[in-house]
Amino acid sequence: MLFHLVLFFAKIWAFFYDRLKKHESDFIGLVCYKLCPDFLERMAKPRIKILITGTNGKTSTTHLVANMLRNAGLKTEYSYWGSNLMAGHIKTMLDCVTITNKCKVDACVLECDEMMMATSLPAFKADYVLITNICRDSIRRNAYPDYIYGKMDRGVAKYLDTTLILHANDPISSGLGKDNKKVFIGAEKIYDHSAYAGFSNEFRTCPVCNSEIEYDFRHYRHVGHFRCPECGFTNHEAKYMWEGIEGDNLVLNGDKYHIISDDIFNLYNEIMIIGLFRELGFEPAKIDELLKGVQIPKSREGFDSYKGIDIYRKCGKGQNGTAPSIIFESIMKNKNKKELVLIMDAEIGRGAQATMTWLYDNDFELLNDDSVQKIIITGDNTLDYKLRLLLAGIPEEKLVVCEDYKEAHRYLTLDDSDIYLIVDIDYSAWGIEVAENTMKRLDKEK
Amino acid sequence: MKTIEVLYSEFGNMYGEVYNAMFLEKSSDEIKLIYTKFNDVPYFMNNDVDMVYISYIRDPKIYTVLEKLRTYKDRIKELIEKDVIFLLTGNSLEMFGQYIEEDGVKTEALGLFDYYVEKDFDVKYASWVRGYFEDIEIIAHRNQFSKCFNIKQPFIRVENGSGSDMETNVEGIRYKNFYATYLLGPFLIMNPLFAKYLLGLMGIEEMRFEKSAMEAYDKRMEYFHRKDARFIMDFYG
Repeated sequence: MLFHLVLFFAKIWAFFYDRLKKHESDFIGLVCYKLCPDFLERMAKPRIKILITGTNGKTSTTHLVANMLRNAGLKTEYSYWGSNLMAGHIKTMLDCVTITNKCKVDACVLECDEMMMATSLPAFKADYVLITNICRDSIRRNAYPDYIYGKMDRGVAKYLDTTLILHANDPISSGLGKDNKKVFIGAEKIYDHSAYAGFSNEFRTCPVCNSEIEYDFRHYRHVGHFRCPECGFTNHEAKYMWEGIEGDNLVLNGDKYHIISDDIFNLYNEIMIIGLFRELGFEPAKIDELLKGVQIPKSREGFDSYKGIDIYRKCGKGQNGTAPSIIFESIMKNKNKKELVLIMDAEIGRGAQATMTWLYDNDFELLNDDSVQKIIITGDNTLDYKLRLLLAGIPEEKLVVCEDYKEAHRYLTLDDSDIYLIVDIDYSAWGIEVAENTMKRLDKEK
Repeated sequence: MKTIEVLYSEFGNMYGEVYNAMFLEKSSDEIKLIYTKFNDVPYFMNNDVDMVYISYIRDPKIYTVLEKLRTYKDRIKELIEKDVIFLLTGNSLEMFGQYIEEDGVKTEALGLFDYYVEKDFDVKYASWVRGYFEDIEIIAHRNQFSKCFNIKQPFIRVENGSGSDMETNVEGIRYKNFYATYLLGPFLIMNPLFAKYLLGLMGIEEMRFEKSAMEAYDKRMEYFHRKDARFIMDFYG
């Protein structure tokens, strides 16, 4: 009775909130949860229930999966605003049911905070849980990978009817779910070179015998083909294997699929999505068609070519121990002259109060390259970034300290160098603002 | 040449801690680092060293490393008594006390000091800590699942934040040139005065990057002396 009363109230509330253009507010979800703690569990569920979790890539992957399902003709709801806790789950599911708790959609895709699996999964009863990866995160969030792994492993054990879609090349997340059904998706070597062997390797010792792990190749961080020389611990065998790249397509189990983004991190998310859709029963040709109809969310990356200057926006999870390294590695594949603007602080004008552990987890050494002409550092912690870049061997004359990101465009040379704006993912609008200011300056000067 | 031995960094590659030793190396041409892996015999067993550094160790591995160190206990004790510098950051100090208690199970530690540790993985303590070692002002991150009790030789007197037991203002252990603290991250980089103090103990006066490190340190201290400074790590911090 209580559940139905709360649902009735919540649907009316949501109706009026939508009229006020506040659809993305999770407040009503929180109210439902507080009044009826098993609210999500009691909600009528759609035929297809997918939960997407992991340290990095959850939001992009959720967006892509949901939009592919929609393009396939399935009525689908998802937390497009990035909400990934219980309140957001309930808010999303409120769009899936009628006021009398009848399900009115075919599918629901929830993004789930990796630490919340133990509560979210049994309540949502997902058919599939896609886990992008496990790696270190900010000191203020989730601590170290073993801790995250433990929390997630206990979470997936609470609902054994789900099938885990796991990343065979990630030695950490691929160990999850001893008693769950599992499907592994992996990758061959693909590239001639291996990832930069810097700090951002989460998996250096064998979990069985503590010997140092050897890699045949690494695509990024600790993700690759690994083995323990002492006890033989190695990758799980993959049901779906990414075998190579042919032109604009990737080849997986002999079938070709359109590439959405050529960043290795996004490519891995894509093969996980392909594996999920194969398990959902979609044929390769249909998946290829669906991939052609979606894009990485604009808030995650962007590109403008304006008056002869290429401006790239790259967003990474803020204060994360490895996300910037992946962005740096991606940027440095472009050998053109370039100028960088770092917009990585979460606040401006408060003072130097951000945690700085992540600065020394990431490989700023990658930016010590002749192609990097200038690095403009913004935010309250500019002096910390400057010190980090100096320790990485970057000459001081290349560094410009400009605390206010709104002024950063003034320091760009605007010659033939490419411009890269590297932005905390929660503040992607700031990157867009710098790009727009740069284009306005180009209008005046070129 | 001064030798710093870095023990088992493959288990502690977190929170930028590995960079502490690298910072000392980059600060002076007179510093040489030796990285000792888990399956290697420590360099200090058969050679003189000027400093030993053990960073944060991922919690599941702390007992593995403790068992390894147990075989070197006598030599470690000898080095401490001979005034060799030991720097332990993060949870690595747990191995040098009396015992570690987790889920009601006590594991005997090296027993070199009187303190003991209680772990509870349901409670994480994450904050900034500001305090003093002698007249050097210290600022650093705390991120741990443990409390440390019965510290008789404190390292840092805490002014903001809490001490190793979350109740008193005593943080870490200092005995002769043994410095151990739960505070972690790029501890030496964020505390250039203490880094310079350690270099001074090794007879090195000059510290490269001192100017830039001090500028960043001063700016951080300016914030953490404000009345509205946030020591608890929240969404922004």
